[in-house]
Amino acid sequence: MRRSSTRKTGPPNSAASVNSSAVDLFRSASSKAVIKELERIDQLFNSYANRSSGVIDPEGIEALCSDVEVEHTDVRILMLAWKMKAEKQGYFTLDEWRRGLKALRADTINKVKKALPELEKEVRRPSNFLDFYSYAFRYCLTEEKQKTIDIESICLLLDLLLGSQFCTQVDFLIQFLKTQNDYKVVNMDQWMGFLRFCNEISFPDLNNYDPELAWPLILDNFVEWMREKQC
Amino acid sequence: MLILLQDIELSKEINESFKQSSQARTKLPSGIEMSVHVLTTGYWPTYPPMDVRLPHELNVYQDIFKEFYLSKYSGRRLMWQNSLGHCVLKAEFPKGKKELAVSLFQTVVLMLFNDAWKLSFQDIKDSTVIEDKELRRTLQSLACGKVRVLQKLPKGREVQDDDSFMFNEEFNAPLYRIKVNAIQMKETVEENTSTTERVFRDRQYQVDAAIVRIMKTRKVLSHTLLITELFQQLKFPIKPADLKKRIESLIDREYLERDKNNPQIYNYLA
Repeated sequence: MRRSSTRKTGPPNSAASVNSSAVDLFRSASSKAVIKELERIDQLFNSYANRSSGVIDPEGIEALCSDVEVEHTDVRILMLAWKMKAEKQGYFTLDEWRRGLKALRADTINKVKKALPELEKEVRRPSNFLDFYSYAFRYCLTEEKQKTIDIESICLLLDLLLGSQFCTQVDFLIQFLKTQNDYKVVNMDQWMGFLRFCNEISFPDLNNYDPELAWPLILDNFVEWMREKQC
Repeated sequence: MLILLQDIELSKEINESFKQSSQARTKLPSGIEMSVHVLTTGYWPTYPPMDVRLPHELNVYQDIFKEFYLSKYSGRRLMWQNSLGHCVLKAEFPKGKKELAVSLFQTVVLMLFNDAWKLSFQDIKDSTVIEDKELRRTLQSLACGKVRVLQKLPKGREVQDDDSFMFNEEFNAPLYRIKVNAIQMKETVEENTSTTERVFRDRQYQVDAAIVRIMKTRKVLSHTLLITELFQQLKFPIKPADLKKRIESLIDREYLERDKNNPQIYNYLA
């Protein structure tokens, strides 16, 4: 109890209490390092943050992208945002920045850059990818109470997220989305359906697709469209 | 439903007090009786407003009623639904007196023959300003139907632009009181699609209600079972795709959610 309070309030070496031990010394040493790391993370934040608003804004993100040498439209930037659990598109707050960079163990721009390939591997793990995929949709909801995303943005997002892994599905799906007239926007349920479809349905023969199952109607239409194309 | 019954009750009272009112006793043209149903807009089916130039006597009647009504309930707006009016006319044919139960449009046309013996289609159209199709149907009902109180020249089923109409002096019928049926409007294509749409919309609500009812009791249900139950409950034919559409709409509106671990299962969100 006391320890935790001293650690919060004072410098670690003030914890010279009766039960001071080697473990405590080690802890204080490591926490010193942690503090140093945090300081550097904050410094890095400040180098990109907008002075008046105190957050990293789109301009700051642009600078960050050029420093880590990726396009700001690159999927890895989205992954970085996911790691930070960034809420607002185009902005990183200090809390989000700390959360992300601490998790990446990166306190210099060079380390951030080096962490990106590892981050991508982490995101591509199936258990994480589902979360990342749904995060990407939410991240694109910029207006309050917005629940859907327009077809054009959805196509970009599909290509960004699934394009490398499910190239043919995504190509056809985008082609379909752009030619159909029934839907002008896509909601979260349909969005999640797309991923499930790519993961589960054999393509392009679609043999295991059953419209009697709970697939969103937009996918029923897509499959029908595919089958018409094939004959 | 309650509002509908209320409207009818209130209308009775209004008609009663109208008859007692000073306006009615002093200004009304004699020889005409009128009863009005005042119906609340929005609760009753809507009808497209139809123009008609009423004979002077009827116009006076409407105006006095309106004046009376608005003095009683200021700030309201009265709109006359001419297409819904009906009248009983006393007619003297050479072969006997009759009472004709007719629509307001039929009345307006027939009353022109109080002052004329023969009128062209265009004359009638100009004096009544009834919409063209509606007028043709009205004339058809008076001159080409079962009860022919008018004669059409030349004879024929359809009303042409240069047709003329005459008072039928030969008219005779065994009964004293005769109903002249209006000719049923053939549904136009637009009307047909709008009806289908309306039916579909009404059914949507029924589908939504059924889905919510089922999910409310089951809380958690697989897609297949939900669809099966819906087919059992709904009394009209419906495509599975339409059911899906409604389910998805309810997900959108957060009545349901797709289970996070099993996409074939829906959860009811209370």
